[in-house]
Amino acid sequence: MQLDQTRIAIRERRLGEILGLALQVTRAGAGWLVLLWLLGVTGFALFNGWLLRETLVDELLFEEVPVGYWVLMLILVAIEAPFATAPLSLYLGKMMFNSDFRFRAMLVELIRSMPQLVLYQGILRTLTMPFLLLPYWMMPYVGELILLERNPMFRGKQNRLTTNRRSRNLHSNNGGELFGRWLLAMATSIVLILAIGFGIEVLLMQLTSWEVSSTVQHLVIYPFALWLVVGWMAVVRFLSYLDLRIRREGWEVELAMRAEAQRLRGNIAPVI
Amino acid sequence: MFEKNRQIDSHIRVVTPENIGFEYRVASPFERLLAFLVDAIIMLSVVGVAGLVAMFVFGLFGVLGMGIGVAMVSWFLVTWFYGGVFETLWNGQTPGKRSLRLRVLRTDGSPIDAGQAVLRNFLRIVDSQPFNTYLTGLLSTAVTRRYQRLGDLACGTMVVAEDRSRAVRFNEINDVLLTPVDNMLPPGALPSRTLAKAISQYVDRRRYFGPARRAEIARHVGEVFAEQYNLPPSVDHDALLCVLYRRTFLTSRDDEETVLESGSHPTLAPEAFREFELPA
Repeated sequence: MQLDQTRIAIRERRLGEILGLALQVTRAGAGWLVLLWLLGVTGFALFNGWLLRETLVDELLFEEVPVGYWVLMLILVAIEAPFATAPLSLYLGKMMFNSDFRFRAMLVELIRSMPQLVLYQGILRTLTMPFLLLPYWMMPYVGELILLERNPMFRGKQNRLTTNRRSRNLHSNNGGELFGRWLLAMATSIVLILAIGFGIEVLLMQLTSWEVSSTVQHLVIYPFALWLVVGWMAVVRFLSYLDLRIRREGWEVELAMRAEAQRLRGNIAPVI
Repeated sequence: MFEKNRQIDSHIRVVTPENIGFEYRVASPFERLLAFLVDAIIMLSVVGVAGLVAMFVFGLFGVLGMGIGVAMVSWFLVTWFYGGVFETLWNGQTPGKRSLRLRVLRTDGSPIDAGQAVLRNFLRIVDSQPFNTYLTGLLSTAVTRRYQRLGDLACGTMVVAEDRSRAVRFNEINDVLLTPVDNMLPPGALPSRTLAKAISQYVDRRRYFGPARRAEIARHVGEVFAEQYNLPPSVDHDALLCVLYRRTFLTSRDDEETVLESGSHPTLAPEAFREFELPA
Protein backbone atom coordinates (compact mmCIF):
# COMPACT_ATOMS: atom_id res chain seq x y z
CA MET A 1 0.00 0.00 0.00
CA GLN A 2 1.48 3.31 -1.09
CA LEU A 3 0.10 5.92 1.23
CA ASP A 4 0.37 8.79 -1.21
CA GLN A 5 -1.23 6.84 -4.07
CA THR A 6 -4.83 7.22 -2.99
CA ARG A 7 -7.85 6.31 -5.06
CA ILE A 8 -9.55 9.61 -4.28
CA ALA A 9 -7.31 12.62 -4.86
CA ILE A 10 -6.52 14.34 -1.59
CA ARG A 11 -6.99 18.07 -1.56
CA GLU A 12 -8.95 20.69 0.32
CA ARG A 13 -12.48 21.03 -0.99
CA ARG A 14 -15.59 23.08 -0.45
CA LEU A 15 -18.90 21.37 0.25
CA GLY A 16 -20.22 21.94 -3.27
CA GLU A 17 -17.16 20.17 -4.67
CA ILE A 18 -17.48 17.36 -2.13
CA LEU A 19 -21.10 16.77 -3.09
CA GLY A 20 -20.07 16.42 -6.72
CA LEU A 21 -17.13 14.21 -5.87
CA ALA A 22 -19.49 11.95 -3.92
CA LEU A 23 -21.28 11.26 -7.19
CA GLN A 24 -18.01 10.19 -8.79
CA VAL A 25 -17.06 8.02 -5.83
CA THR A 26 -20.50 6.41 -5.87
CA ARG A 27 -20.12 5.65 -9.56
CA ALA A 28 -16.62 4.25 -9.13
CA GLY A 29 -17.60 1.92 -6.31
CA ALA A 30 -21.19 1.39 -7.42
CA GLY A 31 -21.19 -2.43 -7.19
CA TRP A 32 -20.19 -2.78 -3.56
CA LEU A 33 -21.81 0.45 -2.47
CA VAL A 34 -25.23 -0.61 -3.79
CA LEU A 35 -24.88 -4.07 -2.27
CA LEU A 36 -23.80 -2.75 1.12
CA TRP A 37 -26.46 -0.08 1.00
CA LEU A 38 -29.11 -2.73 0.37
CA LEU A 39 -27.74 -4.90 3.17
CA GLY A 40 -27.60 -2.04 5.63
CA VAL A 41 -30.84 -0.36 4.76
CA THR A 42 -33.35 -3.07 3.87
CA GLY A 43 -33.89 -4.36 7.39
CA PHE A 44 -34.34 -0.91 8.89
CA ALA A 45 -36.64 0.23 6.07
CA LEU A 46 -38.91 -2.82 6.46
CA PHE A 47 -38.91 -2.42 10.24
CA ASN A 48 -39.90 1.26 9.98
CA GLY A 49 -42.67 0.45 7.51
CA TRP A 50 -44.01 -2.29 9.78
CA LEU A 51 -43.80 -0.08 12.86
CA LEU A 52 -45.41 3.02 11.38
CA ARG A 53 -47.92 1.51 8.96
CA GLU A 54 -50.86 1.80 11.34
CA THR A 55 -49.96 5.42 12.15
CA LEU A 56 -49.89 6.26 8.46
CA VAL A 57 -53.23 4.63 7.71
CA ASP A 58 -54.83 6.41 10.66
CA GLU A 59 -53.40 9.79 9.71
CA LEU A 60 -54.36 9.50 6.06
CA LEU A 61 -57.99 9.13 7.11
CA PHE A 62 -57.98 12.70 8.40
CA GLU A 63 -54.94 14.45 6.90
CA GLU A 64 -53.60 14.87 3.39
CA VAL A 65 -50.01 15.06 4.62
CA PRO A 66 -49.30 12.65 7.50
CA VAL A 67 -47.03 14.96 9.50
CA GLY A 68 -46.91 12.80 12.62
CA TYR A 69 -45.94 9.75 10.59
CA TRP A 70 -43.10 11.63 8.92
CA VAL A 71 -41.81 13.06 12.19
CA LEU A 72 -41.61 9.55 13.63
CA MET A 73 -40.08 8.21 10.42
CA LEU A 74 -37.36 10.89 10.39
CA ILE A 75 -36.51 10.27 14.06
CA LEU A 76 -36.21 6.54 13.41
CA VAL A 77 -34.05 7.06 10.32
CA ALA A 78 -31.82 9.53 12.19
CA ILE A 79 -31.20 6.89 14.88
CA GLU A 80 -30.72 4.04 12.42
CA ALA A 81 -28.65 5.81 9.76
CA PRO A 82 -25.21 5.43 11.43
CA PHE A 83 -25.73 1.67 11.73
CA ALA A 84 -27.24 1.28 8.26
CA THR A 85 -24.38 3.17 6.62
CA ALA A 86 -21.50 1.75 8.71
CA PRO A 87 -20.64 -0.89 6.06
CA LEU A 88 -20.44 1.88 3.45
CA SER A 89 -17.94 3.81 5.56
CA LEU A 90 -15.81 0.69 6.03
CA TYR A 91 -15.85 0.04 2.30
CA LEU A 92 -14.90 3.64 1.51
CA GLY A 93 -12.01 3.42 3.97
CA LYS A 94 -10.62 0.49 2.00
CA MET A 95 -11.40 2.08 -1.34
CA MET A 96 -9.41 5.17 -0.40
CA PHE A 97 -6.13 3.24 -0.45
CA ASN A 98 -7.05 0.72 -3.15
CA SER A 99 -6.98 -2.00 -0.50
CA ASP A 100 -8.70 -5.32 -1.07
CA PHE A 101 -12.20 -5.31 0.29
CA ARG A 102 -13.39 -8.59 1.79
CA PHE A 103 -16.93 -8.87 3.00
CA ARG A 104 -16.05 -11.17 5.91
CA ALA A 105 -13.27 -8.88 7.12
CA MET A 106 -15.69 -5.96 6.91
CA LEU A 107 -18.18 -7.85 9.06
CA VAL A 108 -15.50 -8.59 11.66
CA GLU A 109 -14.51 -4.92 11.78
CA LEU A 110 -18.15 -3.91 12.04
CA ILE A 111 -18.78 -6.29 14.94
CA ARG A 112 -15.64 -5.05 16.71
CA SER A 113 -16.79 -1.46 16.36
CA MET A 114 -20.36 -2.24 17.40
CA PRO A 115 -20.03 -1.53 21.17
CA GLN A 116 -18.73 1.98 20.47
CA LEU A 117 -21.24 2.53 17.68
CA VAL A 118 -24.06 1.56 20.04
CA LEU A 119 -22.71 3.79 22.81
CA TYR A 120 -21.84 6.91 20.81
CA GLN A 121 -24.08 6.71 17.76
CA GLY A 122 -26.98 4.90 19.34
CA ILE A 123 -27.40 5.80 23.00
CA LEU A 124 -25.55 9.12 23.48
CA ARG A 125 -26.62 10.64 20.19
CA THR A 126 -30.25 9.67 20.65
CA LEU A 127 -30.28 11.05 24.17
CA THR A 128 -28.83 14.40 23.06
CA MET A 129 -30.84 14.60 19.85
CA PRO A 130 -33.68 16.67 21.35
CA PHE A 131 -31.22 19.44 22.17
CA LEU A 132 -31.20 21.17 18.79
CA LEU A 133 -29.78 18.11 17.04
CA LEU A 134 -26.46 19.01 18.64
CA PRO A 135 -24.60 15.77 17.96
CA TYR A 136 -25.29 15.98 14.25
CA TRP A 137 -23.49 19.22 13.65
CA MET A 138 -21.14 19.28 16.62
CA MET A 139 -19.63 15.84 16.10
CA PRO A 140 -20.67 14.64 12.66
CA TYR A 141 -17.73 12.32 12.09
CA VAL A 142 -17.79 10.19 15.23
CA GLY A 143 -18.94 7.22 13.16
CA GLU A 144 -15.95 7.53 10.82
CA LEU A 145 -13.59 7.83 13.79
CA ILE A 146 -14.99 4.68 15.39
CA LEU A 147 -14.98 2.65 12.18
CA LEU A 148 -11.81 3.87 10.49
CA GLU A 149 -9.44 5.02 13.23
CA ARG A 150 -10.52 2.45 15.77
CA ASN A 151 -9.52 4.31 18.92
CA PRO A 152 -10.44 2.43 22.09
CA MET A 153 -13.33 3.35 24.32
CA PHE A 154 -11.07 3.48 27.41
CA ARG A 155 -7.48 4.65 27.82
CA GLY A 156 -6.22 1.41 29.28
CA LYS A 157 -2.76 0.82 30.70
CA GLN A 158 -1.07 2.07 27.54
CA ASN A 159 -2.81 5.41 28.00
CA ARG A 160 -4.15 5.33 24.45
CA LEU A 161 -6.19 8.07 22.88
CA THR A 162 -9.88 7.33 23.33
CA THR A 163 -12.59 7.89 20.75
CA ASN A 164 -14.06 10.62 22.90
CA ARG A 165 -10.78 12.54 23.11
CA ARG A 166 -10.05 11.98 19.44
CA SER A 167 -13.48 13.29 18.54
CA ARG A 168 -12.93 16.42 20.61
CA ASN A 169 -9.53 16.97 18.99
CA LEU A 170 -11.00 16.71 15.52
CA HIS A 171 -14.26 18.58 15.99
CA SER A 172 -13.35 21.33 18.43
CA ASN A 173 -12.94 24.92 17.15
CA ASN A 174 -14.78 24.07 13.94
CA GLY A 175 -18.34 24.47 15.24
CA GLY A 176 -19.33 27.33 12.94
CA GLU A 177 -18.07 25.71 9.81
CA LEU A 178 -19.45 22.30 10.71
CA PHE A 179 -22.83 23.88 11.39
CA GLY A 180 -22.81 25.67 8.04
CA ARG A 181 -21.90 22.49 6.22
CA TRP A 182 -24.52 20.55 8.13
CA LEU A 183 -27.21 23.06 7.18
CA LEU A 184 -26.21 22.98 3.52
CA ALA A 185 -26.05 19.19 3.50
CA MET A 186 -29.50 19.04 5.11
CA ALA A 187 -30.94 21.46 2.56
CA THR A 188 -29.41 19.46 -0.29
CA SER A 189 -30.77 16.22 1.17
CA ILE A 190 -34.29 17.57 1.49
CA VAL A 191 -34.28 18.87 -2.08
CA LEU A 192 -32.91 15.56 -3.35
CA ILE A 193 -35.42 13.45 -1.40
CA LEU A 194 -38.32 15.49 -2.73
CA ALA A 195 -36.95 15.48 -6.28
CA ILE A 196 -36.29 11.73 -6.31
CA GLY A 197 -39.61 10.89 -4.65
CA PHE A 198 -41.58 13.13 -6.98
CA GLY A 199 -39.58 11.95 -9.99
CA ILE A 200 -40.31 8.30 -9.23
CA GLU A 201 -43.97 9.11 -8.75
CA VAL A 202 -44.21 10.96 -12.06
CA LEU A 203 -42.33 8.24 -13.90
CA LEU A 204 -44.58 5.53 -12.50
CA MET A 205 -47.65 7.45 -13.52
CA GLN A 206 -46.34 8.32 -16.98
CA LEU A 207 -44.86 4.94 -17.83
CA THR A 208 -47.45 2.61 -16.29
CA SER A 209 -50.51 4.87 -16.06
CA TRP A 210 -50.74 3.65 -12.48
CA GLU A 211 -52.33 6.05 -10.06
CA VAL A 212 -50.00 6.05 -7.05
CA SER A 213 -52.01 5.92 -3.83
CA SER A 214 -51.12 8.06 -0.82
CA THR A 215 -50.26 4.92 1.16
CA VAL A 216 -47.74 3.76 -1.45
CA GLN A 217 -46.39 7.28 -1.77
CA HIS A 218 -45.67 7.64 1.95
CA LEU A 219 -44.90 4.05 2.79
CA VAL A 220 -42.71 3.08 -0.17
CA ILE A 221 -41.69 5.84 -2.58
CA TYR A 222 -40.57 8.64 -0.27
CA PRO A 223 -38.94 6.34 2.33
CA PHE A 224 -37.01 4.76 -0.57
CA ALA A 225 -35.88 8.22 -1.69
CA LEU A 226 -34.98 9.04 1.91
CA TRP A 227 -32.82 5.95 2.36
CA LEU A 228 -31.21 6.50 -1.03
CA VAL A 229 -30.13 9.98 0.03
CA VAL A 230 -29.03 8.71 3.46
CA GLY A 231 -26.73 6.23 1.70
CA TRP A 232 -25.32 8.85 -0.60
CA MET A 233 -24.86 11.22 2.32
CA ALA A 234 -22.66 8.54 3.94
CA VAL A 235 -20.29 9.02 0.99
CA VAL A 236 -20.51 12.80 1.39
CA ARG A 237 -19.82 12.45 5.12
CA PHE A 238 -16.78 10.26 4.48
CA LEU A 239 -15.35 12.79 2.04
CA SER A 240 -16.11 15.65 4.43
CA TYR A 241 -14.34 13.77 7.21
CA LEU A 242 -11.26 13.43 5.01
CA ASP A 243 -11.51 17.10 4.14
CA LEU A 244 -11.64 18.11 7.80
CA ARG A 245 -8.60 15.95 8.53
CA ILE A 246 -6.75 17.51 5.63
CA ARG A 247 -7.50 21.05 6.70
CA ARG A 248 -7.16 20.57 10.42
CA GLU A 249 -4.40 17.98 10.68
CA GLY A 250 -2.59 18.15 7.37
CA TRP A 251 -3.50 14.55 6.69
CA GLU A 252 -2.33 14.70 3.06
CA VAL A 253 1.05 16.02 4.22
CA GLU A 254 1.34 13.22 6.74
CA LEU A 255 0.51 10.61 4.09
CA ALA A 256 3.13 12.07 1.77
CA MET A 257 5.70 12.05 4.58
CA ARG A 258 4.95 8.50 5.60
CA ALA A 259 5.19 7.36 1.98
CA GLU A 260 8.55 9.12 1.60
CA ALA A 261 9.80 7.58 4.83
CA GLN A 262 8.87 4.16 3.43
CA ARG A 263 10.77 4.97 0.24
CA LEU A 264 13.82 6.15 2.16
CA ARG A 265 13.81 2.89 4.08
CA GLY A 266 13.61 1.10 0.73
CA ASN A 267 10.24 -0.51 1.40
CA ILE A 268 8.65 0.74 -1.78
CA ALA A 269 9.93 1.82 -5.14
CA PRO A 270 10.43 5.52 -5.78
CA VAL A 271 7.92 7.31 -7.94
CA ILE A 272 9.64 8.71 -10.98
CA MET B 1 -10.89 -5.33 -5.91
CA PHE B 2 -11.17 -1.77 -7.11
CA GLU B 3 -10.67 -0.40 -10.59
CA LYS B 4 -7.20 0.98 -10.20
CA ASN B 5 -6.70 2.79 -13.44
CA ARG B 6 -7.87 6.29 -12.55
CA GLN B 7 -7.75 8.50 -9.51
CA ILE B 8 -11.10 10.00 -8.61
CA ASP B 9 -10.88 13.76 -8.71
CA SER B 10 -12.85 16.80 -9.75
CA HIS B 11 -9.77 18.25 -11.45
CA ILE B 12 -9.18 17.42 -15.09
CA ARG B 13 -6.22 18.13 -17.31
CA VAL B 14 -6.67 19.55 -20.78
CA VAL B 15 -3.82 19.66 -23.28
CA THR B 16 -4.13 22.16 -26.13
CA PRO B 17 -2.95 21.41 -29.70
CA GLU B 18 0.08 23.58 -28.84
CA ASN B 19 0.90 21.00 -26.17
CA ILE B 20 0.16 23.32 -23.28
CA GLY B 21 -1.51 21.68 -20.32
CA PHE B 22 -4.20 23.30 -18.19
CA GLU B 23 -5.79 21.93 -15.10
CA TYR B 24 -9.42 22.77 -14.48
CA ARG B 25 -11.68 22.02 -11.60
CA VAL B 26 -14.97 20.87 -13.05
CA ALA B 27 -17.95 22.50 -11.33
CA SER B 28 -20.16 20.02 -9.54
CA PRO B 29 -23.88 19.89 -10.32
CA PHE B 30 -24.59 21.33 -6.89
CA GLU B 31 -22.48 24.42 -7.51
CA ARG B 32 -24.22 24.76 -10.87
CA LEU B 33 -27.59 24.49 -9.15
CA LEU B 34 -26.74 27.51 -7.00
CA ALA B 35 -25.74 29.48 -10.09
CA PHE B 36 -28.98 28.43 -11.76
CA LEU B 37 -30.98 29.61 -8.73
CA VAL B 38 -29.34 33.05 -9.01
CA ASP B 39 -30.19 33.13 -12.72
CA ALA B 40 -33.75 31.96 -12.02
CA ILE B 41 -34.26 34.84 -9.57
CA ILE B 42 -32.97 37.32 -12.16
CA MET B 43 -35.15 35.80 -14.89
CA LEU B 44 -38.25 35.91 -12.70
CA SER B 45 -37.53 39.50 -11.73
CA VAL B 46 -37.05 40.60 -15.33
CA VAL B 47 -40.15 38.81 -16.55
CA GLY B 48 -42.19 40.05 -13.59
CA VAL B 49 -41.19 43.68 -14.09
CA ALA B 50 -41.59 43.53 -17.89
CA GLY B 51 -44.98 41.86 -17.56
CA LEU B 52 -46.27 44.34 -15.00
CA VAL B 53 -45.09 47.34 -17.04
CA ALA B 54 -46.63 45.89 -20.23
CA MET B 55 -49.93 45.15 -18.53
CA PHE B 56 -50.02 48.59 -16.92
CA VAL B 57 -49.25 50.46 -20.16
CA PHE B 58 -51.61 48.39 -22.33
CA GLY B 59 -54.21 48.47 -19.56
CA LEU B 60 -54.22 52.29 -19.76
CA PHE B 61 -55.21 51.98 -23.39
CA GLY B 62 -57.87 49.41 -22.55
CA VAL B 63 -56.10 46.45 -24.19
CA LEU B 64 -55.02 44.46 -21.14
CA GLY B 65 -55.01 41.26 -23.21
CA MET B 66 -52.22 42.69 -25.33
CA GLY B 67 -50.26 43.41 -22.16
CA ILE B 68 -50.69 39.80 -21.03
CA GLY B 69 -49.53 38.70 -24.46
CA VAL B 70 -46.40 40.83 -24.21
CA ALA B 71 -45.74 39.44 -20.73
CA MET B 72 -45.99 35.87 -22.08
CA VAL B 73 -43.71 36.64 -25.00
CA SER B 74 -41.15 38.15 -22.63
CA TRP B 75 -41.43 35.05 -20.45
CA PHE B 76 -40.73 32.84 -23.49
CA LEU B 77 -37.81 34.96 -24.67
CA VAL B 78 -36.18 35.25 -21.27
CA THR B 79 -36.50 31.60 -20.26
CA TRP B 80 -35.29 30.24 -23.60
CA PHE B 81 -32.63 32.74 -24.55
CA TYR B 82 -31.31 34.17 -21.27
CA GLY B 83 -28.60 31.51 -20.87
CA GLY B 84 -27.68 31.40 -24.54
CA VAL B 85 -27.35 35.16 -24.93
CA PHE B 86 -25.38 35.71 -21.75
CA GLU B 87 -23.05 32.76 -22.35
CA THR B 88 -22.37 34.09 -25.85
CA LEU B 89 -21.75 37.68 -24.78
CA TRP B 90 -19.99 36.96 -21.50
CA ASN B 91 -17.73 34.22 -22.77
CA GLY B 92 -19.48 31.25 -21.19
CA GLN B 93 -20.91 32.98 -18.16
CA THR B 94 -24.35 34.06 -17.00
CA PRO B 95 -24.80 36.42 -14.03
CA GLY B 96 -25.37 33.39 -11.81
CA LYS B 97 -22.26 31.63 -13.08
CA ARG B 98 -20.22 34.79 -12.79
CA SER B 99 -21.29 35.28 -9.18
CA LEU B 100 -20.11 31.75 -8.39
CA ARG B 101 -17.03 32.00 -10.66
CA LEU B 102 -18.17 29.28 -13.04
CA ARG B 103 -17.63 29.27 -16.78
CA VAL B 104 -18.74 27.11 -19.68
CA LEU B 105 -15.91 25.89 -21.89
CA ARG B 106 -15.52 23.36 -24.64
CA THR B 107 -14.12 20.07 -23.44
CA ASP B 108 -10.80 20.98 -25.06
CA GLY B 109 -10.63 24.11 -22.90
CA SER B 110 -11.40 26.62 -25.64
CA PRO B 111 -14.27 29.17 -25.42
CA ILE B 112 -17.75 28.17 -26.55
CA ASP B 113 -19.47 29.76 -29.55
CA ALA B 114 -22.99 31.13 -29.86
CA GLY B 115 -24.40 27.90 -31.30
CA GLN B 116 -23.14 25.86 -28.37
CA ALA B 117 -24.32 28.45 -25.86
CA VAL B 118 -27.84 28.50 -27.25
CA LEU B 119 -28.16 24.76 -27.89
CA ARG B 120 -26.95 23.66 -24.43
CA ASN B 121 -29.52 25.97 -22.89
CA PHE B 122 -32.30 24.75 -25.20
CA LEU B 123 -31.53 21.19 -24.11
CA ARG B 124 -32.07 22.12 -20.50
CA ILE B 125 -35.66 21.08 -21.08
CA VAL B 126 -34.47 17.48 -21.53
CA ASP B 127 -32.22 17.60 -18.46
CA SER B 128 -35.05 18.94 -16.33
CA GLN B 129 -37.15 15.77 -16.83
CA PRO B 130 -39.13 14.22 -15.27
CA PHE B 131 -41.31 17.23 -14.56
CA ASN B 132 -38.66 19.79 -13.61
CA THR B 133 -37.00 17.53 -11.03
CA TYR B 134 -33.73 17.65 -13.05
CA LEU B 135 -33.14 13.99 -12.27
CA THR B 136 -32.07 13.32 -15.87
CA GLY B 137 -29.45 16.04 -15.61
CA LEU B 138 -28.32 14.80 -12.20
CA LEU B 139 -28.00 11.24 -13.47
CA SER B 140 -26.08 12.44 -16.51
CA THR B 141 -23.65 14.50 -14.42
CA ALA B 142 -23.21 11.56 -12.05
CA VAL B 143 -22.08 9.18 -14.78
CA THR B 144 -19.76 11.52 -16.68
CA ARG B 145 -16.34 12.47 -15.48
CA ARG B 146 -16.76 16.13 -16.36
CA TYR B 147 -20.18 16.39 -14.71
CA GLN B 148 -21.82 16.96 -18.09
CA ARG B 149 -25.57 17.11 -18.42
CA LEU B 150 -27.15 16.05 -21.69
CA GLY B 151 -26.96 19.60 -23.03
CA ASP B 152 -23.22 19.62 -22.39
CA LEU B 153 -22.73 16.20 -23.95
CA ALA B 154 -24.59 17.28 -27.09
CA CYS B 155 -22.52 20.46 -27.43
CA GLY B 156 -19.15 19.16 -26.25
CA THR B 157 -19.02 21.59 -23.34
CA MET B 158 -18.30 21.48 -19.63
CA VAL B 159 -18.62 23.93 -16.74
CA VAL B 160 -15.46 24.73 -14.83
CA ALA B 161 -14.85 26.60 -11.60
CA GLU B 162 -12.39 29.45 -11.78
CA ASP B 163 -10.54 28.97 -8.52
CA ARG B 164 -8.35 31.89 -7.65
CA SER B 165 -5.25 30.19 -6.44
CA ARG B 166 -2.34 32.07 -5.01
CA ALA B 167 0.74 32.49 -7.10
CA VAL B 168 3.27 29.90 -6.06
CA ARG B 169 6.05 31.40 -4.05
CA PHE B 170 8.63 30.00 -1.76
CA ASN B 171 8.02 30.02 1.96
CA GLU B 172 10.29 32.02 4.14
CA ILE B 173 11.04 30.14 7.30
CA ASN B 174 11.62 32.54 10.14
CA ASP B 175 10.07 30.88 13.16
CA VAL B 176 12.70 28.24 13.70
CA LEU B 177 16.48 28.48 13.97
CA LEU B 178 17.94 26.50 11.11
CA THR B 179 21.68 27.10 11.19
CA PRO B 180 22.56 24.63 13.99
CA VAL B 181 20.75 21.80 12.20
CA ASP B 182 22.14 22.93 8.85
CA ASN B 183 25.67 22.74 10.26
CA MET B 184 25.10 19.19 11.49
CA LEU B 185 23.87 17.99 8.10
CA PRO B 186 26.56 17.13 5.47
CA PRO B 187 26.63 19.57 2.54
CA GLY B 188 25.63 16.88 0.05
CA ALA B 189 22.53 15.80 1.95
CA LEU B 190 19.65 16.66 -0.37
CA PRO B 191 16.21 15.13 -0.76
CA SER B 192 15.02 13.17 -3.81
CA ARG B 193 12.59 14.79 -6.20
CA THR B 194 9.50 13.21 -4.63
CA LEU B 195 10.76 13.90 -1.13
CA ALA B 196 11.45 17.52 -2.06
CA LYS B 197 7.86 17.79 -3.23
CA ALA B 198 6.59 16.29 0.02
CA ILE B 199 8.80 18.60 2.07
CA SER B 200 7.58 21.58 0.07
CA GLN B 201 4.01 20.51 0.86
CA TYR B 202 4.94 20.25 4.53
CA VAL B 203 6.61 23.65 4.71
CA ASP B 204 3.67 25.20 2.91
CA ARG B 205 1.26 23.93 5.56
CA ARG B 206 3.34 23.83 8.74
CA ARG B 207 2.32 27.29 9.91
CA TYR B 208 -1.21 25.97 10.44
CA PHE B 209 -0.04 23.21 12.80
CA GLY B 210 0.97 23.40 16.43
CA PRO B 211 4.44 22.26 17.56
CA ALA B 212 3.18 18.82 18.55
CA ARG B 213 1.54 18.23 15.19
CA ARG B 214 4.64 19.45 13.35
CA ALA B 215 6.76 17.01 15.31
CA GLU B 216 4.23 14.25 14.60
CA ILE B 217 4.36 14.78 10.84
CA ALA B 218 8.03 15.62 10.49
CA ARG B 219 9.27 12.65 12.47
CA HIS B 220 8.40 10.14 9.71
CA VAL B 221 11.06 11.45 7.34
CA GLY B 222 13.13 13.17 10.00
CA GLU B 223 13.94 9.94 11.82
CA VAL B 224 15.15 8.22 8.65
CA PHE B 225 17.25 11.22 7.64
CA ALA B 226 18.72 11.49 11.11
CA GLU B 227 19.66 7.80 10.99
CA GLN B 228 21.21 8.09 7.55
CA TYR B 229 23.34 11.11 8.38
CA ASN B 230 24.13 10.19 11.98
CA LEU B 231 22.33 13.13 13.50
CA PRO B 232 21.45 12.97 17.19
CA PRO B 233 18.12 11.18 17.71
CA SER B 234 16.75 14.21 19.53
CA VAL B 235 17.24 16.52 16.56
CA ASP B 236 14.29 18.78 15.78
CA HIS B 237 12.70 17.04 12.79
CA ASP B 238 10.69 20.12 11.89
CA ALA B 239 13.88 22.19 11.66
CA LEU B 240 15.53 19.38 9.70
CA LEU B 241 12.80 19.42 7.05
CA CYS B 242 13.00 23.21 6.90
CA VAL B 243 16.73 22.97 6.30
CA LEU B 244 16.17 20.47 3.49
CA TYR B 245 13.54 22.76 2.02
CA ARG B 246 15.87 25.74 2.16
CA ARG B 247 18.70 23.78 0.61
CA THR B 248 16.47 22.57 -2.21
CA PHE B 249 14.39 25.60 -3.04
CA LEU B 250 16.02 28.73 -1.67
CA THR B 251 19.27 29.93 -3.07
CA SER B 252 20.13 32.48 -0.42
CA ARG B 253 20.89 31.10 3.00
CA ASP B 254 21.82 34.39 4.55
CA ASP B 255 18.35 35.34 5.67
CA GLU B 256 18.17 36.73 9.14
CA GLU B 257 16.79 34.23 11.55
CA THR B 258 14.46 34.95 14.39
CA VAL B 259 15.98 34.34 17.77
CA LEU B 260 14.03 31.68 19.64
CA GLU B 261 12.65 32.14 23.11
CA SER B 262 15.21 31.82 25.84
CA GLY B 263 15.47 28.37 27.31
CA SER B 264 14.59 26.51 24.12
CA HIS B 265 17.27 24.34 22.60
CA PRO B 266 17.63 25.12 18.91
CA THR B 267 18.28 21.61 17.74
CA LEU B 268 15.98 19.60 19.97
CA ALA B 269 12.50 18.57 19.03
CA PRO B 270 9.63 19.96 21.08
CA GLU B 271 8.11 17.55 23.51
CA ALA B 272 5.49 15.95 21.37
CA PHE B 273 2.46 14.13 22.64
CA ARG B 274 0.21 12.09 20.47
CA GLU B 275 -3.02 13.95 19.81
CA PHE B 276 -4.50 11.18 17.69
CA GLU B 277 -3.64 7.79 16.41
CA LEU B 278 -3.32 6.74 12.84
CA PRO B 279 -5.18 3.74 11.49
CA ALA B 280 -3.11 0.61 11.24
